[in-house]
Amino acid sequence: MVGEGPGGGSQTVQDPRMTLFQFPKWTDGLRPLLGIAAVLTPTYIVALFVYGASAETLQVGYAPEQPIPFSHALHAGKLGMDCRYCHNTVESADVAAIPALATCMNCHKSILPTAKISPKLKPLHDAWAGGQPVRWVKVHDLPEFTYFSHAPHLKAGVSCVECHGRVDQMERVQTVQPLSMSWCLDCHRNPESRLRPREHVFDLGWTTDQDRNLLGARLRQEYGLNPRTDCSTCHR
Amino acid sequence: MNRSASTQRYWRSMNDLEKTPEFQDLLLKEFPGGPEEAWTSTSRRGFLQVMGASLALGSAAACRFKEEHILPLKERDESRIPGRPKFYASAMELDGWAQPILVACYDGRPTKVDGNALHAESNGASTVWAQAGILGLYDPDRSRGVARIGGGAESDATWAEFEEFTKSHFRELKTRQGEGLAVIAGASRSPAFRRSAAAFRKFFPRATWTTWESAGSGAEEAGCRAAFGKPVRPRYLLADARVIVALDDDFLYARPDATRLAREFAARRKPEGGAWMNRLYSVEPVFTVTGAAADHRVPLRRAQVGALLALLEAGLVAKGLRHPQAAEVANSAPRLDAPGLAAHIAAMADDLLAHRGAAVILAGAAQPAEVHARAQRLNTLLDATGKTVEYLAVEEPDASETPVAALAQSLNEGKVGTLVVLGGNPAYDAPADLGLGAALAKASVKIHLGLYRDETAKKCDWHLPQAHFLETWSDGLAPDGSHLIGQPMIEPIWGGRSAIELLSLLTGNARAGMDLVREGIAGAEDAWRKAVHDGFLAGSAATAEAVEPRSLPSAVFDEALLAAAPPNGALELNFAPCPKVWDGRFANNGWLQELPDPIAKITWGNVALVSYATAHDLGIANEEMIRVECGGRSLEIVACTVPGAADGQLTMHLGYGRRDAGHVAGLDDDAVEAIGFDSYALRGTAGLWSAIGARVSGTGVTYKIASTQDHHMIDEVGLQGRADRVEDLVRETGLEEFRTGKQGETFAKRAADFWDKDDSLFEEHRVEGEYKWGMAIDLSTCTGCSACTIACQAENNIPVVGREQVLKGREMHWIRMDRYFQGDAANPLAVHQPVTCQQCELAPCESVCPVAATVHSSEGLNDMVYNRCIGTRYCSNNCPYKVRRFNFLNYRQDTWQAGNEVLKMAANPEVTVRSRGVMEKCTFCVQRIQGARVQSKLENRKIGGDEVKTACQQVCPTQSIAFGDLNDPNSVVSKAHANNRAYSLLAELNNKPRNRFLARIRNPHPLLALPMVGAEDQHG
Repeated sequence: MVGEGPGGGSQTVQDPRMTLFQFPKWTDGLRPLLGIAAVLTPTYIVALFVYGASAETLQVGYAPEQPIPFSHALHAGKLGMDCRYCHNTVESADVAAIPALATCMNCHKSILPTAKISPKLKPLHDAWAGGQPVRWVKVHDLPEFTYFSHAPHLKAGVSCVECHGRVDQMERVQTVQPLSMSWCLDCHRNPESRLRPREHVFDLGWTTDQDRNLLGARLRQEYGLNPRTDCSTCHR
Repeated sequence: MNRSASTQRYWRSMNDLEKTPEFQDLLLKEFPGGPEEAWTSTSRRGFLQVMGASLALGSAAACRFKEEHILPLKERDESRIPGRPKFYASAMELDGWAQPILVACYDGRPTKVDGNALHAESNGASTVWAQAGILGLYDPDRSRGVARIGGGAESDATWAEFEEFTKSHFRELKTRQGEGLAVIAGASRSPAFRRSAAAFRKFFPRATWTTWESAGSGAEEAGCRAAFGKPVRPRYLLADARVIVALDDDFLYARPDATRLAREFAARRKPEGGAWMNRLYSVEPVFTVTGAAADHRVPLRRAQVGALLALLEAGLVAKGLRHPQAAEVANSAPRLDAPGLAAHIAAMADDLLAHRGAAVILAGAAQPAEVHARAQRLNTLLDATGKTVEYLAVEEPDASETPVAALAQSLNEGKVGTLVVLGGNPAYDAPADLGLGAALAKASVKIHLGLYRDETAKKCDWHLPQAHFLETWSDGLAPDGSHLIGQPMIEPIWGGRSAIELLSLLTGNARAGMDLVREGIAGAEDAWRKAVHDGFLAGSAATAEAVEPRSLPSAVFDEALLAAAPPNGALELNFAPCPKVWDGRFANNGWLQELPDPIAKITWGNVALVSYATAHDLGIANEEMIRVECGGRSLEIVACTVPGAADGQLTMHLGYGRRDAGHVAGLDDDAVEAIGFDSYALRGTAGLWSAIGARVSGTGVTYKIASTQDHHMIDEVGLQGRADRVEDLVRETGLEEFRTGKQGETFAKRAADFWDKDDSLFEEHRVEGEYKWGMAIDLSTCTGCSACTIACQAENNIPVVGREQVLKGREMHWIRMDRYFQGDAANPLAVHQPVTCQQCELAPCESVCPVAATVHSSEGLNDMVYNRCIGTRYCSNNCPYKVRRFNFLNYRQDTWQAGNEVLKMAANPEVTVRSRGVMEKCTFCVQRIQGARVQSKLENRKIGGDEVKTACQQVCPTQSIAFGDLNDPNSVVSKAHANNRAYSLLAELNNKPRNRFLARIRNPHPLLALPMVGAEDQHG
């Protein structure tokens, strides 16, 4: 629209609806890049989500390096030590505690890192002498809004091997199960194939001729198991 | 004032009664002043620019988990299981008396304080101050080490340097027998402290010792000395008391043995099965917890209470009570005019005489010794001795101690060379006319031991960090006389030491706290270990003394003080320790600052409580800043008109307006504004509790009081609907109607309470689990003390939001204490109702969540899953009880600031810590249910019907909250649900809440009418 302005000269008065879509002049230079942006932006967003959702610590096979190269294959496997010698709170508490350094020294005060035995033992003795705690890297890490208790699972006949795999054959501990919520729910809804008699829970190499499902069903009834799938079971 | 015609029986505040615009605002918008206003200043383009930038910069790093580390101990003994709590007994001292407590410790740090069930004083319950003690331990504003203070600067020092200094300085003092040495300390009945003090005074015979406890009062013991001629104190036994008269005494809340008194009182408030109910009369200047629980309440000024007692005594004599000074009593009865007073006195006299031997009169700490003497004499004449009150021996007051006024004088005269302040904050809370703060500067050497570098520390030369009661060995005397032992739960975080350790250091014989406490326990190691384990020495409770009343001088009354309406300039100014921060020592405790006070529901500050009539006469309005002048001193404070206050007086709570408390309560150094107003500025030695001659002038400036009383209300439509259907939230009646009325014991039931699930029109799909959790809250025993609110906050990591957010209605308490008034605004009845999530079986919140973040568990709990919640707040919108709390901001931000790491230690590891944008609410302490479940599985048994105790249930002194398994017909909660008094809130909405309330029964005297609608008016 053209009309008379206050200063006497003619001025163009814009339709107010058009001013909403006026971009600043300097953005003209960006127009050629619009096409590239149209391709890159969705790629970026997808990559963002894929990267964000694929945390290293949640992948099966996550095997971080530990400050002391402790080998379960040697101690639990070859030497045949029971899981509970070190993880002594697992049957009565929520956590299967990483043992105190003193537990290692029970034996290792006599097994010294001479050149004859193993230089790998040096970090252990250094830690004991140094008085600082050992910073173990947590391998099976659940988020902090999830509360998991070991004791009732062991009491129900779920072996270490179901979730942690054949730890007694691992040089370095790694995850073998996704530990995701859907994976936990699969077992809670259908525990039969994961159950074994209580006395064999710590026998990681245990096998049986019986049908696991039938055995599990029988054990479920015998132990009176009714695993809950309510949210508050784990989330509080 | 205008009372709008309303069919509504209950009202929460004058805004409610008058339907003011502010009230409408709160009614229509659950969160007034909300985000709608924030966006008007931003254009749409601006909004898009901001959102675009943050999206581009948004890093997905938050989605990835970082590596976590496990740091095991170097040596761990078998009893220490990571993640499992251990419970230790201890003791907490407040105002000289100690409480037995039990502390839960996770991984070497205490996280929750509760009562020690082994000791009869607590029976498992505790006070708000015990609950809040944890936050005090981990307060980042605590003093972090020894400091040398001078010329406005602080420089860090070490204990070694201080010890070096004391060696020379105190050795020199010893040569002069301690001439010029003055100590000022709080009142403590702790045996170890008394021994240390005695040893110190023996070591320095010429040193002076001053006891100053700002909220303490020697009036009760002075009254007993006058009445009986021997040093005794009363210990009330309310278990068999049928009539209780409380004269300005908040015995259900503020006495050192309030936990026990509340329990005994509440045990006789349940009329089931024909059990008798006690009757409580309360005479007080402003509403207190005791007044709210009372059957009859008389608002009177503090100065008039003594006159009422004299009239009561005369009335008893007239009705035939044998009295050795009958003639004097009859002749010296004063004239006292107050509405309804004569009828109340007649009823009290009638009741006291009718129940001789089962009646008792209590007088509060603020009353003068003469009133106490008269009250105790009357108790013995009414045969209360040995039945409803017993007298325990105390020490004679130490005449060799120097009163604080004399100390101030010595300081001003330059006679004090060395001053030692053992805890306490005398520069802040000593009487204003003494000018102790300025006088302190005149001593040459000033040593301060304290938890904070507070107002007193700033005036001293040496500041020494004090060990918190959870960090050190201590002992104490419980109100029943038993010897309590306090053990440390954690090493002193900041290297503090206790007062007894410091005293031993100053005498050149530094000893550890444990040795000093151990000395007090005779016997072998076994006796000591048992005492430490139990938290007290068995059999150490005091035995009662025999007393004989003596003759007392006639009471003399100043008629001017008893006038009905004192003019401006002659007003009564009353002080009371704050129900939350006490005398100011807890001012920096966020939990206590945010706890709404039981009656006026005020948070974050104090006010001048005044009655409507007096405010009208003075020309001041609610929330108006006023200037109060008294005794040559003045203070500007906000006025708050409250129902039930006596005319002609103002009451102020102590403990606010602090300038050097910390980042919560006020810190001049960091420009943190002081919370509240410093009422100590008006408090002089002449009127420590009650001063006459106050003058009030309005300033016209408005100050918003952060009160929660109108928050979370049912909306207008609901209110109307309720009034139409007469479905009240709070149901109560008198004992007579309950026993013999038309509906009798089922008066609380309405039509909706009789609906059964089979009556439903549609098929209700519910999964039934092994247990059926439910709760019942008895309104007849609930006193409204709000300990449940703090216990829940401590147990569930509920954040503190601050004053600004409370003004918007965003306080986060999962259990709120609603308080309703009924009747005349000048003297109404009050009733308290704690409201938690009702865990509805057909929850309105569950069906509207778009992401299924709130779902129903098989056992009846409404589960709140924080990690699924996206913050639409539709659930809160749909909740008719308004029990859901939303994290509008990241209220935990202060925990992540540098220097505040110690705050993280206060959190309970069993409960998720919520961040911004998630909804939270009461979970019936699901973490405790889960803990019990794990335990039961390991032991091959079911969870007991009463085994799980929620935090609110555990702390309640009157045991008003019952929780447990409704599938077990013998559990306390099942029986409560089957009780005739049980009803559900808003049952007609068919939510089927798992929480029921037991209606309140009052026990009025037949001669006095209560302003309460009778049962006949209720139709259902």
